[in-house]
Amino acid sequence: MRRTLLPLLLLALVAGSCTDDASGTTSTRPPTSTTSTTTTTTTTQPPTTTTTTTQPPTTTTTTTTTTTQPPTTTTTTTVPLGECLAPSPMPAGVTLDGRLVDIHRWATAFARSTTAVGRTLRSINDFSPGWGGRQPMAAAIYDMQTDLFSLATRVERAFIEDGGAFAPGQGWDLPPDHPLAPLAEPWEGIPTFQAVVLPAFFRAAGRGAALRIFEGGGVCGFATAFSAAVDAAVELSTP
Amino acid sequence: MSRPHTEARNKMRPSLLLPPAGTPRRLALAIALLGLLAASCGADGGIPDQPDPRSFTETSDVVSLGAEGDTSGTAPAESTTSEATTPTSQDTTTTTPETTTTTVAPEPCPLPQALPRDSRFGPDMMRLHRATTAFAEGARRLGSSVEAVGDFSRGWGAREPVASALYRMQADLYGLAFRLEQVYAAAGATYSPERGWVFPDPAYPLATLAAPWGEIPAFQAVTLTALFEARGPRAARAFFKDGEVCRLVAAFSTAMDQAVAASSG
Repeated sequence: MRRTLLPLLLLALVAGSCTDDASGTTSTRPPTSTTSTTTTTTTTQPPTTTTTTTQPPTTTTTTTTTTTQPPTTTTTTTVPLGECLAPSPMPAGVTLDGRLVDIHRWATAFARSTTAVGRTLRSINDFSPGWGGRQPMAAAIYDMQTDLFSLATRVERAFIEDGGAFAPGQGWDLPPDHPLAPLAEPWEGIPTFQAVVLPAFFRAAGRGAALRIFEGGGVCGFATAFSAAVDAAVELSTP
Repeated sequence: MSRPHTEARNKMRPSLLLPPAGTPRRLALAIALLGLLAASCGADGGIPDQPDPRSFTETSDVVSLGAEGDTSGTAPAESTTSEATTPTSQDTTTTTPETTTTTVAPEPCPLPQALPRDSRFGPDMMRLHRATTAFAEGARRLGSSVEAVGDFSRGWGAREPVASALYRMQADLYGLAFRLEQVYAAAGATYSPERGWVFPDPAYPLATLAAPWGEIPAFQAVTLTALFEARGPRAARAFFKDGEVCRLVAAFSTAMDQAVAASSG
């Protein structure tokens, strides 16, 4: 009996750790995570929702764990309800455009921080006006927005570097067969996300209404759209 | 957009050119010349205390829509302007043959003061100054684009010309915020929601920017939400003229000025 219980216990422990990782609790900020082996960089992390809110980011352990997490663990093990899908892991053994690798990192960060907004949403009880500007939601929103605009800026820069041109009302004009072209559509959707989706979300007067907008009204869906576009771009870029 | 005073003045002008009946020719000529002179003075110097009737859109800076050629979100251009030399829509310009005097009205979305030319600041200060300037300029452009909106039906903020201006302002804001985080972290500062930013050096000049940084979530969740739910030009424009949107801009610009002053001292 004891021999049976021990492996079961071990399995449960492993499963538990996988779930924690997949939920994005230790969401990374791509540029800092690459250099975040030092304590100093760890403290650069803004209030990363659950982790930072509950545990001051003072230890290097958290950073090391985050940095060494293979991305495959995150996206393929479990996708709990409310998870905003991150891009698929980058294909192994293929050298891709460095800008796409960077964009992939930020899209992953955006999906994770958006998921964290949903998780925070489920944890708060006070939905009186201005709830989105109060902690812990404030920190979650800040992270999500920072990740989104870091991603957007990189997409924009890559397009411009490659001779793309943006015309208001018409969108991006990119060179033919541009491998990053799938990213143009979600990029062009950012104003709608900012001016329509988020205001509706923050106007929600209760958890139920807010969750409906989060899950079905375009918050989580927007992150997922970016992830799908990154996947498409990776596919187009893969020889 | 004509003003009653101007219309009345224009109607009066022709009569100034006509001499009364029976006036000798030389006298009539002199009166006519005086009339011409008076008319020209009236044209230039009339109603000096009235605001310029031109709209914000007509007099604002060049509106850079979208991302084309504009990378201020990632590398804002160095600003060479300052409040004292940048006329706005609310300014009154009085021109006489010799001089041009511009009275500068308070700008609700102020830029930080230009960095003193002879001073040497570190790269962090320079970058943050550029980013703060870019954010303020982005907010002004958003204000200009809101002025140009005619259709305030649902979703107006996601339609051009506001959409591009909104994107740029937001990209500049979060670019500034992220850069500030990096600078603070490099200076050994730590953040927690309970205590905010804690700096190892209590006199750290850039610490002044921590307060506006902390206001970003409320700006996003409360101010912008209210702005984009405005259903008319007056309500939407009030966010700029009365300061709801510009308040964060002003807070960042003021904090930047204080940081520069502290560094200079």
